[in-house]
Amino acid sequence: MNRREFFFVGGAGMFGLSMPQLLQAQAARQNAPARQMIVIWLGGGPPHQDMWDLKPDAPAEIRGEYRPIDTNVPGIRISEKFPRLARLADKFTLLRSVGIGNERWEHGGGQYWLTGNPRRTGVTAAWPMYGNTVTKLRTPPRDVPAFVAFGDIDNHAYGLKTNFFGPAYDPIVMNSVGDQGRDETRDMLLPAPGLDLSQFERRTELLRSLDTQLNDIAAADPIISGLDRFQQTSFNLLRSPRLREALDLTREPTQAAARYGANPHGRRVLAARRLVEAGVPFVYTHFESNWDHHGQNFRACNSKLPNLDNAVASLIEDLDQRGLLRTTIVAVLGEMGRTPRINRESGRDHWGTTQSVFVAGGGFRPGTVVGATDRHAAYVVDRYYKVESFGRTLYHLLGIDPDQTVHTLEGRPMRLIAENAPLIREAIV
Amino acid sequence: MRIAATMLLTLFVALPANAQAPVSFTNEVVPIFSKLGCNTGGCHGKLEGQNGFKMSLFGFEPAEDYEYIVKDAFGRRVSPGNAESSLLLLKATGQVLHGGGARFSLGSPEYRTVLRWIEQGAQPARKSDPVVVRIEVSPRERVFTGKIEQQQLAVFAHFGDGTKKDVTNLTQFETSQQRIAEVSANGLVTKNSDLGSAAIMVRYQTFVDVFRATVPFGGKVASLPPAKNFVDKLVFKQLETLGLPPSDVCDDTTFLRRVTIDIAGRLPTKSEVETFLADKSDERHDKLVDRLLASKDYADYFALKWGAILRNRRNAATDNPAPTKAFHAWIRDSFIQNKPYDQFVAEILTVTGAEGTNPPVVWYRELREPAALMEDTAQLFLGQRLQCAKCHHHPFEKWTQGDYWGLTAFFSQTDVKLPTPAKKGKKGEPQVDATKFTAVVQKAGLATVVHPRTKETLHPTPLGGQPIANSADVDPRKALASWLADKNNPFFARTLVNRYWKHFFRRGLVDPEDDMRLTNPATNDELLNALAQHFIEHNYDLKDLVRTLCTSQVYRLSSVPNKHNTPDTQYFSRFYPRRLNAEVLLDAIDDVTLAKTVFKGMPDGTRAVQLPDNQVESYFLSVFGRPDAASPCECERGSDASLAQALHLFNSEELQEKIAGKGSPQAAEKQKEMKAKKNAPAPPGIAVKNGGTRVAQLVSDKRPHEQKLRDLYLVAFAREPSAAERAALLAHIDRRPDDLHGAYAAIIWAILNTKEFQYNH
Repeated sequence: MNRREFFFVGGAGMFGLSMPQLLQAQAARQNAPARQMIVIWLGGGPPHQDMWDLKPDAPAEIRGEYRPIDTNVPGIRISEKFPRLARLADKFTLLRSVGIGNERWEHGGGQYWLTGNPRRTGVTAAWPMYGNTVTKLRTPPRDVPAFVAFGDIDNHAYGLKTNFFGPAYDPIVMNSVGDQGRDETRDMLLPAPGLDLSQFERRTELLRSLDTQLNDIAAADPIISGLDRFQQTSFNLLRSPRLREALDLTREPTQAAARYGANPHGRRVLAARRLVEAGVPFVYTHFESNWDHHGQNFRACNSKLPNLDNAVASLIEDLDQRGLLRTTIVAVLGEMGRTPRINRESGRDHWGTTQSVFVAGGGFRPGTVVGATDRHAAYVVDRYYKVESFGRTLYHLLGIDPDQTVHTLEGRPMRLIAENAPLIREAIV
Repeated sequence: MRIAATMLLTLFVALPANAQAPVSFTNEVVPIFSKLGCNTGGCHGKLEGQNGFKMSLFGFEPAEDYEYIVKDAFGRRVSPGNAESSLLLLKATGQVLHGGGARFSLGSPEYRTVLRWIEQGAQPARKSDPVVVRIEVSPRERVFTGKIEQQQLAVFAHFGDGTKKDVTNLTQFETSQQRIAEVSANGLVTKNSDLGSAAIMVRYQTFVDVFRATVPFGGKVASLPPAKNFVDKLVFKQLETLGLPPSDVCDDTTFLRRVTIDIAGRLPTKSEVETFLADKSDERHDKLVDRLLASKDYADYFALKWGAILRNRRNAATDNPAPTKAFHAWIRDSFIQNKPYDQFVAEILTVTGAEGTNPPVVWYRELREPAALMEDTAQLFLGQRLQCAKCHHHPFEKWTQGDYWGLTAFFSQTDVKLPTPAKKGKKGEPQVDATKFTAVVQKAGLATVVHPRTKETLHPTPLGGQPIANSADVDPRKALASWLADKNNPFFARTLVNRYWKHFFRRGLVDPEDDMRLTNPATNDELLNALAQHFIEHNYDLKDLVRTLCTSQVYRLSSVPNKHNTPDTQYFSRFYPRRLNAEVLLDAIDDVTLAKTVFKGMPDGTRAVQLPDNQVESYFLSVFGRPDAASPCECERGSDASLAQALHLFNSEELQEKIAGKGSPQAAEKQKEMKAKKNAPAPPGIAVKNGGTRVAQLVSDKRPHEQKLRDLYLVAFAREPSAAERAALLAHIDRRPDDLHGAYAAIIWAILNTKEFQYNH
């Protein structure tokens, strides 16, 4: 058997999707603007009124320490801590009137925001994250994974590591990238030390000659054919330099890398961009692990917001320059907003009623602000949209029908997004 | 040409009833909205309704529907004086913009019924309306042989007054297997492309029934292996009916590997293979099963299985492991003793006292609330998923909210006390001591619950039975345990034998195994009943049950399909292969590589199948789908393949080290590299591990390669290599005479990555 043959062996025909599912998915996708997506997760609940929705006219104990600054879009103002993003307002969209709408969720809202469903561990069905859905319903790329996550997937969203699609659609998780730490997953992408690629190919040839049992039922058994398929992808990953090179940040020109910030969070966002360039459909990373500023909110923001500004602004610039912003959604959000009134510890507490979400690219209407809150950034006064609207809008842009029926591991039929809710039409092109 | 089996029944279409006869809201109007999908959970049936209009889910509460339709929205939905312009009709026919589109057309039978009901004054349910007591689908089953491709169903409602009425046109139909048989809205069943059996659920009001459509396989069963017990007789009988010839009986080595994995959760050793192959007696298979059942490995493996569904878990690795270790030991000990299953369950259900000393308290600790305790009891021991009935009538079963809360009442006086920190007493009050353990306490007083809808007081009531003689002096959980163990209990034994059937045959006779509702019938009901009867007659003897299953000929059928049975996934005409469980796979890899995985906090030599709970850290086990023990469903254990798994077996450091061993050139290089990385600590969640010694052993072994390869195959596959395999392996070794270590490392790598190794087949 020659190499070429090996590359194309493998039982699964349609990657586990039934024919109608696949055709349906393809049809929907043809007109869909978004092909890829990056989630930058601010776990803990970032203070919307200090970042995206400032209220300079509110009393001091509400408006906080930051002043708003003008952006390159007249009328849109954001925090003075975001000078670089302020020059890019014509590239992104701010949703200022979204929220869970009540205070019953606290940090559990992370599950809600990342799946588009009011998901509670052990109580409701375990809906998949957007990335799991993309992995399941789309034809997977050949030599990169469909879904890569940096760091804890359930940062402030306990329970998200498992969902009712099962582990087959889980992300490849990496704990670190581009820094000194070891990473078991990243190490797997390199041929083992002392084992060069040609030796590895000889091994796989030996495997083919020994792996002769069970092939006759592989076609009839999705798990067996799945095993073949994932072995094939693993081999492709090892054979192709694409993923390895994308994760090798030393390949990035020093100057370009520095713009993302010399910190692990900025490096992950840079790696996310490189993965999207390499064709990975979905990347999740959390950015700073704790936005739960019950105390010393401004001290925390003084260090976090400039880092976020550098990383997100560089990401938007680079994607735009490469023509990828048009087809790539970037979403920056956490699980809730913060209380209007600053507490005695100079902190802000949980506020699930309202928050802001930053989105860009992939069919979102650039240079737009959707909705408005009252003079204390407490309640929505214009165009309230609940989480389901956000989730439905994402799926809509990704060409995935949020009303389709999917099945849990137990075989229970569920709508991908259970509740009806309107699309956030004002936010999309 | 399509031939309907019973043309006559197609004539039952909605004939307009006597225009003067009063239309019954409950029996005629509400079922229309159910049939047309208006009151589903995705539309008006959900809790907050749809666009301001709410209906009860699936029309289960007609009294509430009357309020919603007639009274709410200031009564603007129905206008008896001008019936045709009622908003209800304008919306349903799409004459006024309706998010759900037009559901019926002007002048349709549904339209005329609703119109007449409004014209008659939109009356609520009357006392004189006949009350449905059951429904019945006719026929009950159809085998689509020869040219028969369709079957029209008729559904009859039986009323309390003894009358009977055709309600086919008001009934909802739903198929369980679209690809085997489809059903139209009018109840016309049409066979589809796949072979096998589909259940068609029919529902009218809160009542369900089921029709079974079977598309035979069209083969000829020319010869069958001789039946050894009733399992064989009943499976083979069905295969003959279906025209589904079974695969041949597998060879001895396949059987040995299969049954050792299924009973003992491990690969057979080399000496076990050699001994078994040397045994030529007719009883060798039965003796093997007995030997495995007598081993501690059986108890280890089944303790692992039961620990997961009995929620033997901790939230974090830092939590005290003593209670879960004690519960694990208790479960394992129950299997060593071969404790009768009814006693095993009774001891869990009726436990009191503190965790650790009373090990099953862990199960209560994880569930805490009476309703949660009841739901797990129902799903785990009765095969009934009652969760739906907490808030509304079960949509696919006969269970009502009353059944749900009546069963919950058994636990209503059982209190789960969690550990509390010490509290300083308020002024003048004594200090409150800390409690360290969770405890189960049966409180004084009569066990009852209040029905959330009717506010009626409910006494503990077995499913489908009468309330127990309730007394404040007697723990009602004892009555619950006796009801379970009663030999007339229709659920208890069936659920267990079905669960065990699935363990050994991959698919339950009812599947999912814990969803044994009326509308999800068994693929072989006669067999399920016979197994349950056998289990009861043998006093719930679990080892006897395993023996019965594993010594059958059916269990010995080969997984290699013949010309006819590749499409069979329901009737066990061949053995369905399944991936080794995470723990079994890790142990098997250790057996082949002679590596030893070391688990944090566990004694040296602990194997993965012996781990007591979910929190003993192991990256390997998480990636390969070890369950979190957070639900009573075995489906929590992942059996799907994933990219992370494939990558792990292909190229992880853990695997390379197990294969190449410590002191190998690979490992030396790795260590150098690690030094260069300043000994960065390993990321969390990776079990401490040791290199394997198999390769080093093979290299230093001076015997010919043929013999060494034979031994390796016996360990990994429980068989000798074929001539072709031997030739390929020897050629592989010959190609690299200067690197025997590398050659053997590659061979072991390839073996671990074959399907034959990763599957029980």
